[in-house]
Amino acid sequence: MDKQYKKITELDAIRKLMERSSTCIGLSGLGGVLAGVLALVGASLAYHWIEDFKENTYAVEALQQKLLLLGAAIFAGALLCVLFFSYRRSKKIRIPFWNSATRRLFISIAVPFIAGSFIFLWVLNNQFYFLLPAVSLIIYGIAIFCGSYYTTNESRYLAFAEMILGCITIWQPAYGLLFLATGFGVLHILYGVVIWFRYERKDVR
Amino acid sequence: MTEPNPIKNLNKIFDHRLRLGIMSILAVNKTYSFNDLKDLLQVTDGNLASHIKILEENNYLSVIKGFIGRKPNTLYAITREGKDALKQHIETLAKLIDTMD
Repeated sequence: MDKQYKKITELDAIRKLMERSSTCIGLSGLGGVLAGVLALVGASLAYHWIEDFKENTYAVEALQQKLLLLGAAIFAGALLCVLFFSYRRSKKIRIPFWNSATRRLFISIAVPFIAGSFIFLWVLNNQFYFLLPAVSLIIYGIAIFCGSYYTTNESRYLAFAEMILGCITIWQPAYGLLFLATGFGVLHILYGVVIWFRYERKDVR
Repeated sequence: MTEPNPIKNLNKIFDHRLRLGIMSILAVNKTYSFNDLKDLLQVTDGNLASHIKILEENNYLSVIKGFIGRKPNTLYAITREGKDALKQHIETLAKLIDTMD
């Protein structure tokens, strides 16, 4: 019996090492939820600004600038949330935050993201503003899909959902803000809740 | 006919849990660096190096020496031989557990 127990723990240790070395398991669901909430706050602010603009038409450039700044701020805030909570979580489960798996995850997300941001900038520069929501959702979905090979499988569903949403947005540009709020807000909250219930909740010190 | 002794298929080189650990990590990663192995397995330099040497001598892993700036950065990769040996070892382990159930 004792020997059998030893063999089982040995197999379990092998499986754990394989998982820990190749996938980033420290991503925090809480960080995802907060990022989603931030996105929803941003989207509602943007909505009010746009409604306000419709009533008292001031210079459209001023509104565009305000919206872009808001977008950049929300993006930075969401990124910080995810990084902070993931850092905290890896401390808690005692795995190095910046290990080989995290580096691979980072690179595989960053490369399509940076390449895609050139499309984003081109669209911006040529003032095809109605395309921005679709472009950002699709680029983000592709980046997450690439990263999903180095983290838990749930991220692949998130990636597909973002890409599909982005594709729908191309044909329904009038609802761009609504799609943005769904893609970056609702989907992140959903993803975060799933990660939290499946993994994070069971974390032990 | 008697059953062949299944224990015979357990690999002696994988008796040590550190060597088994190194091989498990290399089996699912194209390459893995010395420092990352050290972090994940939480062992000292000397200890890790000596077990890697044994695996290297048995042709279970290959060494890729490199540098990041001036700091040496040594990478390891599993060989075909090492992968087969690990596979057989794990399958034997799993079989043993099955027969004991």
